[in-house]
Amino acid sequence: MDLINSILNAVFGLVFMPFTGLQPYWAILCVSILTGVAMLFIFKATSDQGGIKRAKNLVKGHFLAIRLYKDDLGLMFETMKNIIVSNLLYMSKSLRPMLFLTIPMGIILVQLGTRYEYRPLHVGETTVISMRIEDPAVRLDEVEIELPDGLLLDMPPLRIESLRELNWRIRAEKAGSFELGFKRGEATVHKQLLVQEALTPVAAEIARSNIGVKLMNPSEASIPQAAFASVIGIDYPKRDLEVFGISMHWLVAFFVISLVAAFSLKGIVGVEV
Amino acid sequence: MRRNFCLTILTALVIFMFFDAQPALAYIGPGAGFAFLTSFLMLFASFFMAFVTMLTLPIRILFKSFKHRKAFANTKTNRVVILGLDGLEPTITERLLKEGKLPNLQQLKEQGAYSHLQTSYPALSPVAWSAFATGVNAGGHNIFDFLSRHKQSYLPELSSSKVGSSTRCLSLGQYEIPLGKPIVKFLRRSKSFWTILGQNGIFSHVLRVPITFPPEKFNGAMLSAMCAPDLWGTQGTFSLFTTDDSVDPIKEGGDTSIVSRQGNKVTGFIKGPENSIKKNKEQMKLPFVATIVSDDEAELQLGKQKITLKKNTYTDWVELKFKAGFGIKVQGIARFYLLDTKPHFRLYMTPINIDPETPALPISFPFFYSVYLSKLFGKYATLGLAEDTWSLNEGILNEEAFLEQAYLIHEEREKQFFHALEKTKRGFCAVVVDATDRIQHMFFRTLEDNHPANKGKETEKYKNVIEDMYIRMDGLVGRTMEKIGKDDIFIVMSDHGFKSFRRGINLNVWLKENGYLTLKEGVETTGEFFQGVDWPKTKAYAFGLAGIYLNVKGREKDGTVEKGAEYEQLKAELIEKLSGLTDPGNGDVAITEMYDAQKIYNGPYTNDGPDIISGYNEGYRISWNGATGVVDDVIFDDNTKAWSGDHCIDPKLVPGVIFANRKIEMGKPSLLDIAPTVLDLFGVQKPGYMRGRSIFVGDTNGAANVALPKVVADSKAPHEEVVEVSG
Repeated sequence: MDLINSILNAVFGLVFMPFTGLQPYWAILCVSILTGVAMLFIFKATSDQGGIKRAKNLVKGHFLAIRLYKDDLGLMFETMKNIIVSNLLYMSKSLRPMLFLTIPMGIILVQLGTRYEYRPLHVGETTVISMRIEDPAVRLDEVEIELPDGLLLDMPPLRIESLRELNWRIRAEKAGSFELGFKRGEATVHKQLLVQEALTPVAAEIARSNIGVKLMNPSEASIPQAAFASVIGIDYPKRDLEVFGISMHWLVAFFVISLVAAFSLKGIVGVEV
Repeated sequence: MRRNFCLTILTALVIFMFFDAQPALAYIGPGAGFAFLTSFLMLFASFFMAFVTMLTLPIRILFKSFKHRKAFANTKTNRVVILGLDGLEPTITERLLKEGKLPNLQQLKEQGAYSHLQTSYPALSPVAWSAFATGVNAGGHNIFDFLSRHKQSYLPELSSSKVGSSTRCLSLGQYEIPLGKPIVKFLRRSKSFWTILGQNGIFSHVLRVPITFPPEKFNGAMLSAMCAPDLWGTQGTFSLFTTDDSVDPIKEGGDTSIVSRQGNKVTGFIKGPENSIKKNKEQMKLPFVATIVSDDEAELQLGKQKITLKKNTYTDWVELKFKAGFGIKVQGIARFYLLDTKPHFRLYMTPINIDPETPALPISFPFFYSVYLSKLFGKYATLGLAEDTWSLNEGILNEEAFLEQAYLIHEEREKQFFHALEKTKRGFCAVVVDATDRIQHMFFRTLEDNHPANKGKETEKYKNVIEDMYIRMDGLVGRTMEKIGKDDIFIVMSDHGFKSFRRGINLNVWLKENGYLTLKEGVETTGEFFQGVDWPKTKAYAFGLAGIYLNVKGREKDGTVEKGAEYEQLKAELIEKLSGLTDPGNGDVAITEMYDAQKIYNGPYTNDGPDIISGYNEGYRISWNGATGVVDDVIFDDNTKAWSGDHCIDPKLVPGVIFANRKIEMGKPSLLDIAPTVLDLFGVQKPGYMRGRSIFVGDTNGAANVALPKVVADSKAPHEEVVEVSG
C-alpha cells in the first residue's frame, strides 16, 4: 500500500507542482476539468454507447407522451410508469462505466482530499496530537513526545485510559515540515507535522493496520507493524476553499466543475452520457 | 473469461471501497454524476410536467366536457380501427381465401363481412385515399392525380402540396437570410373525417394515410405519408456512387455520382439539398471516404461517423448533416447498400429521408409526434413513397434488395401502428400499409409467364413474392385482431385493386395523329412535358396518369377550345373515338371506356381536373412516355420495366376490398362511404356534402358514389391550409 501511495504521490506531486505558488482554487479548477475530460474518455470506452442512447431516447420519448396524451389521465399514469422504467434502464446502463470509473476517481479524490480536506498549521496556531495505543502491555505514561525546534508543548499530555489514548496540545512557533517523535523506552515512532501556507498534501492520521486510514492518508508512510502506537492523528484545521469568491467545500467545487466540464465537452469527445 | 475476471476484481474493489470509505468517497465523480444527474433531471422534468399537466387537467376536462359534451354520447363503438392495405387485389385475395392461405381474413369475413370496395376515378392512391379521408370525390377534394398541370405553363406540379421559401430575405454578402418561415401549402381540399371527429372530442391516430403532407391540425396524432418529400424536395431520388465512369446515366428517380478510388480508399460526396441561405442556392455536400476492407466489406467514414458496409446488406439509418452556414444544419437520414467493391466500387444510397427526429419540414401533427416515434422506436422512413421502386426499375437494386427494403419499412410501420393502437383506448386509429402496393407494382410480371417485362429478368424465383406478401399481411391482420375488443370495429380495406401492366398507350401520340395535338414546325418528337408542342394549335392533351385535358380558352394559357358547345362537342368526340380503342399489336381492346369528368365529379374543383378520365382495359395503362408528356410516334408499346403491375385503369376493373368484423349491410360499398361510416359509428352527424353513408346500415339502392348529382362542397370546409414551419 505504501509503495502504491508513494508512486501516486509522485505522480500527483507533478500534477500539482505548477500550482504551488498559486491560490488553491486554481489547482482544483484545473484538476476538476482534466478529470471531467478524462472520465469522458473512460466512460466512452467502457459503456454501451448505443444502449445509453436508446435508453435516453426512451425517456425522452415517454416525456413527449405527456404532452401528446395530456387529456388522458390513464395514459398519463402509464407514461409516468414508462418514464420510471426507462430511467432505471438508463441508470443500469451507467453501472458498468461507473464500475470502471470508481478506481481512478477514488485515487483522484483521495489525492485531492489530502490537499483540500485539511490545511497545514499556520505559525502561532495550536493543535492537538492524539495517539491510540491498543496494546494493553503498553502503559500510557511510558510514552513521551519529542518536539523539534519550532514547536512547543502548550500543556501537559492528557491520558485517557478508557480510550487508550494520549493527547498533546502543541503550538507552532516556526514554519516548516517537522517530524514529531514518540518515545517509549528505546522504541520511537514518528509523525510528520506541517506548518506552512502553501498547498501541500496533509496526512491527518497515520495507522499501523487500519487500511481505511492508509487509503485516506497516502502522503505519509504508515506506522511500522512492530511499533507500540496504533494510530497517530493531528487535528489540522479544515481548509476553507474559495472559488471565485464563493466559499465551498472542495468536494462541491470538484463535483460541479468536473460535471460542467464533462457536459460541455461531451459533444466534442463524441460521447453519449 | 479475462474480461469477466477484470470485472469481478473491479466489482470487489468497488464494494470494498464503498464499505470502507468515508462519506466523501461515496461520491465517485462524473461517472456517477453523468448517470444520476441526467436521470434526476429527466425524472424531475417529467414529473414536473406531469404535475403541471395534472394541475390543469380539471380545467381542461371542464372546458372539453362543455365543448365536447356530446362526444361519445351517441357512439356505437369504443374504437374504430382501419388497416389500409394499399392495392390489395380482390381476385388474388379471393383465390388465397379459397385456398385457405389467409386464415385471419377468412375469420374476419366469417365473423363480419367481405366485399369489393368501389374505388375512385381515376383509381390512383392519392385520389382514392383523399376520397377515403373526406368522403367526397376529386371534384370536392381537388386531388385528381399525383401531378396537376400548371395552367399557364402546362408544366407539372405536385397536386397535393406546395413548398416555398420565405419571400422576405436579408442580403448579407453571399448569404440571403430568410426573414420569414418557409411556407408549406396543403392543396387537398374539403375536411377529413378525423378532423370532424376531433371537433367532436374524439381523438384519432392517423398513420401514413396518403395525402397527409403537410399534416392537418386536429385533435389527434398524425404521421404524414404519400407526397412527403425527401430532403432534395423530390418524391424520392436515390443515389448511386460508383467508380465506373462509363455507367449509363440513370433515367428516372436516381442520381449517379462518379467517385474516385486510390488504393483501397474511395472518396466522394453526398449531394444534399440546395442551400437556401446562399444566394447561388448551391447544392450542399457531405464528403465521405469509403475504405475497402475486403471484397465484401468496406468502411464508410462520414464526418465522425464510421459505418460498416457489408455487401448486399442494408445499413441502419445513417444521419446525414449538411452544413448551410452560420451553424445551421439540415439533417436527413439514409440507408446504404454496398453493391460491389470490384471491379468497380458501387454503393447505393436510398433517397435522403427527412429525419423524423429533427424534421426539416412538418411531417407529423403535432410537430413532435415524429420525434416521439423516433425516440421510442428509432429512425424510420418518412418519405411519402418510401419504397424505392425506381432503383429496381433502373436495375440498380435487384429484386431481393428491393424486397428487403420494402419489408424493413413495413416493420417500422407495424411497430408504429401497434403502438398507436395500444394508445387508442377510445377513438379512431388508422394506418395504411404501402408495401402491398409497391411489391405488386414491381412483381406483378411474375404472375404471368408471357409478361413483356419478364424478358431478361429472373421470374421463377420470385413467383411467390406476391402470394407471400398477402400471407404476411394476413398475419398482420391476425395480430391486429388479437388487440380488437368486442366493442371495437375493425376494418381492413384497400383503396383499389391491381392488374397487370403489359402494354402502354401514349394518348398524346394518338391525339397528334388524329389532329388534336400539334407539334411546332420541324419538331418530330417532343422532350418531356410537351417541349415542342404548338399550344395555340392544340385542342387536347393527355397529362399524368389520369386522363385528357382540353386546351380551353381562358383556362389554359394558350387555350383554343371555346367553353360551351365546342367544348362539349370535342369532349364527346374524343370519348367516342377512344372508347373501345383496340391495340393493333394484338387486336385487344385497350380502352374500355373514356369517362366524362363532368358526369363523374361534383364539387367546386371539378374544372381543375381532367376533362376526360381514361378507362384502360386490363393489361394496359398510359405508357411511360405518355405519362411524362413525350410526344413521339409510338402509340402502343410493351412495358418492359420491373414496374409491371398497375391500377390506373378503368376503375370498374380494379375495385378494392373491404373486410369488417361487423356485417356490411350496404350492397355496393364505396371508398366514399368510409368517412360517413366512421362518423356514424361515433354518433357524429356527417356533413351535408358527403354523399356516401354508413356501410353498416341497410341499403336497397346500392351506394351513391359514382355519378352523383352535383353539389357544392361545404362552404365551411377548409379550402386551403397553410402550414408555417420553422427552420
